[in-house]
Amino acid sequence: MPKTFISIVLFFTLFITTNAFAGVVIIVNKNNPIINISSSELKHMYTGELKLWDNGKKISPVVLKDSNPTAIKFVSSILGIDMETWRRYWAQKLFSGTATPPHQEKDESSLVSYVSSESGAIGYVMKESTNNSVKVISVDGKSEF
Amino acid sequence: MKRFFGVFLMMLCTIVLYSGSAIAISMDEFKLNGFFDLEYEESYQDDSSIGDRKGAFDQYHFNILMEFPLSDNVTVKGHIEYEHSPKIEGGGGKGEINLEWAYLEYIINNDIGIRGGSFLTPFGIYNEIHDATPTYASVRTPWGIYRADKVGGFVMIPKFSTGISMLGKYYTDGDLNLNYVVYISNGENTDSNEAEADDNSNKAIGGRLMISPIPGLTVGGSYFTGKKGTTKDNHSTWAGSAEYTIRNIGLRAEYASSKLADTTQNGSYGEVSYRVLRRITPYLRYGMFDPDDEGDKDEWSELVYGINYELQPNFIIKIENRHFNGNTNNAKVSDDYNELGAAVAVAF
Repeated sequence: MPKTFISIVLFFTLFITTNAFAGVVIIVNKNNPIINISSSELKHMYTGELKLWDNGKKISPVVLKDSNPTAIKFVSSILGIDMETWRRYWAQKLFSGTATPPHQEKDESSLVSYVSSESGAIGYVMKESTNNSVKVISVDGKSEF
Repeated sequence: MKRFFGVFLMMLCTIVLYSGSAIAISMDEFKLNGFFDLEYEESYQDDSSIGDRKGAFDQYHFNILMEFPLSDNVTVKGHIEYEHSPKIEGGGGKGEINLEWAYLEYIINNDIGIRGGSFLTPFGIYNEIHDATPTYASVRTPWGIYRADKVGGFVMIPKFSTGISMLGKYYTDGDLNLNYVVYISNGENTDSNEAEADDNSNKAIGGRLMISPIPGLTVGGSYFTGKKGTTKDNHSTWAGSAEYTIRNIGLRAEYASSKLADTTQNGSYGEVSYRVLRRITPYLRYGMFDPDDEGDKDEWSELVYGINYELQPNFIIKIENRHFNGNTNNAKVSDDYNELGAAVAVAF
């Protein structure tokens, strides 16, 4: 198989892979001083392991409905699991009394509103859904993923 | 030990009183969740009289969880269970109402938290979720460990504990995660309500450690020790567990050993499940139980196989066949028989 052909296939594979999750940003309340977190911290916030910000405020992760494409992308890319596993994980956490599942919003605009009004909130939306009422933070130095 | 317990309780109260002076809690912060299930079971082995040959529906659980945050790091949590649709009027012991848990949780920092009150005893994989049927594939928990009293033994651990527990965690930026919980409680009573009094001066202690060295794998160990009720018999139990999830395959295994006075019993099981078409999960479990390691022909075993179907998010249908095999000297199941079990379970 010619090397050129393999190179073209690899290039398009890389392009498709990168683009599949492009455009999702992490937002926090404007008053939150944080500007960057690690992907590990983000994961632990959404699995209920990390409960307080450095300033002692409660971390309030917020999610979109399970069927939302942005939610599916977020759960698979950040947590590395599918939505069914995510649901079962949280059911076990909730019903064992270990942690309370993230607050859920019906769409991206209401999620942005929630984050803008909750001082400890953190959420994910497509880049085009953000506005000046919230702050976009980077994850491992990257502003979108 | 008593002094330590008293000081600990005082510290907890001081911390909570200091943390806030809330008179009323905003209902915006109040959270309500729960689960419901309806079961059907019928034994159908022609040559055995054990089990329910008539078949019956069982409105098993209607459970309500409540959460009242007092501040960013102080929360009161409650969980009320209505089991078998209890009928208060007329009494007669029909059904049960249980306060599964009611505790105050204080999160000191991201690594340590303290709970005071009644809680489900942290033990193994299933005890804290034993009633929450939407959270596991099968209709029932593995009885060889979690309902040993139903298969010829004694309860391995008290389902509920009242006292104080400390929860901690450690994680790295890599894959390693570690969770632990240790507790001190009234332990097991024979006469009084464990949530109100202690039948003896001994306090039970226990704990659980769970480690996830790589994604998908969790191994853990649990321990409980105390004196039981007014007889003050020594009771100690330990368990080891392993869970591994890789893609759609789930593997789970546990072993527990419990000694009460002079009797030692052992239980174990292995489970495998495989999720297909996203929401259909066939599963298989084999469990064993030996109610007395010095007894003869008293062992019990189960082979359970079934299908779990998530019809829509948080709405689950289950159907399984259980083959129980009890040896002739087993006090509860001295024969082998089959049983059909089915359930609809909803989490909300």
